[in-house]
Amino acid sequence: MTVSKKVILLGHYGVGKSSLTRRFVHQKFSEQYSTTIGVTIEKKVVALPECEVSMIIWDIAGETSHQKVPHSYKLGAHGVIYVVDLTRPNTFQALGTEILNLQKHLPNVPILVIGNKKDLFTEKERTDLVKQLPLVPFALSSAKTGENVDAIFTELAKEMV
Amino acid sequence: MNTLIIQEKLAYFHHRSQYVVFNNEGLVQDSCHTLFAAPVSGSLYEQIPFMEAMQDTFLQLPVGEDISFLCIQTDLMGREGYYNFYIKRQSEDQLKWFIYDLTEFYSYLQPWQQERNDQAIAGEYLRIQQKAATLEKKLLKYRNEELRRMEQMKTAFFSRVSHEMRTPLNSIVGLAHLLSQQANPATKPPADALEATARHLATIINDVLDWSKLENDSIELDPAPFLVRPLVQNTAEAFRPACQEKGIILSVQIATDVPDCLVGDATRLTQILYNLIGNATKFTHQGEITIATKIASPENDTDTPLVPFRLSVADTGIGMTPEEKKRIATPYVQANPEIHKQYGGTGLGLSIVQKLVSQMNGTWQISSHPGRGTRVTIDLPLPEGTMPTVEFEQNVPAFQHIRTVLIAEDDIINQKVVSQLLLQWGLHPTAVSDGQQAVEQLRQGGYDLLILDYQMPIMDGAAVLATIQQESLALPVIVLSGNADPAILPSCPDNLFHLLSKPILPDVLQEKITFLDQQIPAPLVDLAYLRQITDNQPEVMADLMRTFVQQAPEVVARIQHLWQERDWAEIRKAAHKAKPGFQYIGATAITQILDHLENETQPHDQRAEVSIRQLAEKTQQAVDQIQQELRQLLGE
Repeated sequence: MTVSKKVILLGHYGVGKSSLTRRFVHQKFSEQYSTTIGVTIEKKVVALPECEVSMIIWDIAGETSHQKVPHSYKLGAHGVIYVVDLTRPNTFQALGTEILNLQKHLPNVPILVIGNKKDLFTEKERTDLVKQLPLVPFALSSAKTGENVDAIFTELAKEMV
Repeated sequence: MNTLIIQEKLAYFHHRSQYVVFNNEGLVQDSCHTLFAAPVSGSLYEQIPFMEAMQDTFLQLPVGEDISFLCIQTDLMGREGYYNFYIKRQSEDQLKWFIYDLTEFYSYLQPWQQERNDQAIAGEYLRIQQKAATLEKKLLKYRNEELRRMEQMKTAFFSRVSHEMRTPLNSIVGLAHLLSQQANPATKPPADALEATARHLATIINDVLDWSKLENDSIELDPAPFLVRPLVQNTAEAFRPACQEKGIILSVQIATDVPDCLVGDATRLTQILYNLIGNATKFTHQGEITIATKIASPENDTDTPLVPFRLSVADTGIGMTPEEKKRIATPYVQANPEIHKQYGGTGLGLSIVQKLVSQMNGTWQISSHPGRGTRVTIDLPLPEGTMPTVEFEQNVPAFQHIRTVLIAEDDIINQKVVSQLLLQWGLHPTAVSDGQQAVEQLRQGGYDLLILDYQMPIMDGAAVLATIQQESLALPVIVLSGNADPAILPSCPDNLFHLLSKPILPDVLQEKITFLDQQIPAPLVDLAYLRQITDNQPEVMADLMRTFVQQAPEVVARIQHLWQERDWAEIRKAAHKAKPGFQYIGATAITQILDHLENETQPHDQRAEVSIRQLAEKTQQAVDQIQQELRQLLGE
């Protein structure tokens, strides 16, 4: 059995939403930053033990707040991946409020907070950095190395079904 | 409605848009197929990801309502691009999907958005860097303050502890000295050792205390006129016993052009010298230590009223490598760790010297070579001074001609005793420890008298006297010997060599120096008094000298005329009146002739004629000499 699930990726511009999507869907990474305009829709089927999940991934252009994202983009979303850039405090300073608003906007929708670009830090620095985040992220990821990328989408798939 | 316009509009947009009519199951009922071929079989929800994602939403969309999706980048049946979608529920089981292909427009827009985001991200990183730099600066400031605070605490602690220690230690030093003075032969060695140890400890404590004050800039210099030669000589003498014990030659060379009196903080200058000689003594195991003072070559600025006083301490000790040289002026740091193990010390001596020299606006240089020795040279710009009147009078030499005395004596106690006596009599002693050094000093010149020990190492007194005769280093010599037989002296036509038997009694020595002083023929003129009363002001001196040159021949001519008149009363008056003029220029011999004419001349006294002739001759010589001095004074 295959179930379809709409997944939206939110977060500031340049945090790596497109890179995570490209890594997950196409197993590719590019150092070149290419900004997204509007939404890019990708699809990947994730096999879970009980079923297959067809994940329709809406990689939404980065905004400083999800409230700036057109309402129609979020309509019918089954899961959210909220990405922050660990190298840029601006991208996670208002994280607490942002997630709270998002939960109100999309009740009962699982939201995974991801700290991306973990490859740019040492283990010690990452530990210190996580303490500074307003929320404990679900995972730290690296689209560059692919670390934790599949695990994040798979976890979301599990939470959505 | 203008159908033409509608047709144009349709023609313009037709190739960029498409409509698809489908039912709730996603089956296509109608489409224009302009952009892509809508599937004729199967559900749209299964073939187009956008539709798949929105299936639930579209099924719940009320009749008559629509939803728009702008700028969706996706694949429509193999046609990748940017699209705007509009979905409208037509009826309970029918929806319309309008698709506009805006790939060209959004592809044009994307680089602009890219640039905007790039700049925004760069701005964020810049702000982060600025924030980090600000934080780093604050951290550095905090660390500096913390270090300064710790340094102050350390200094204050040392200062308090040192002060607390110094007070009782001074008592210990004093009591140890008394104990040593009063000790019997059996107890004297330990008493001396106790005194030496206490003094050593006092030196360390004083260094630490002084350094803490210097670090806090709380030492204020107290400049006052001081006599250079006794200061240097006495400080050096303090190290004589230690040098002698190690078999090191300690010599002091004070150039003759060094002024007698300079203005500076004598206590701190002594401290500088003490530290330098102390180091030299500590690190020298053979050879010699030479303390020298001279006037450095004048700088370009010859108008400066400051004397370029140079002080150097050179040794033939262990020396230092260039790396060690760099370290030594750092407080509490010595040239290398082995130095402390072997020699002890606080590592503060040179730091104190450096600070004090800097505070005196001076400079210091150090040259050193491992195994060859070290020379520290200090240049201090100091004003030339004159001692206050009372002090000056106390130090006025009791002697007319003898001022500088070289003492050649290997016995340190005797050296000290003789030096002290000479200083008390206003003389300038310089001490050396053997005949060789004595001869070297004499060759340099500048001494009026030699006090020579007959039995000395390296070169004894007899050899020194022989050298004096061979090299015609004519000066009076007082030979000190345990042998009272004058036969030990070589014959001297000028009767310059005199014997004094040991032990020396101060009165006897003073009488002998007085005798020799009187034997030295007085110069016809001596401007020392004139310099003193005019405070060395060239204009005033020149004025008085011109007056003398003009008036002296007139005075003599008048006395000669009175002599021809045989007017004895007027001769006496004229002689009396003329005396002060000759006294100003130090013409002692002429003054004595005038004295004779004033007090002893009797009518028909034939000696008066001789005196008047001598008066005329000597006055002419004195006038010539004064004219020559005047030209020199005026730089002609």
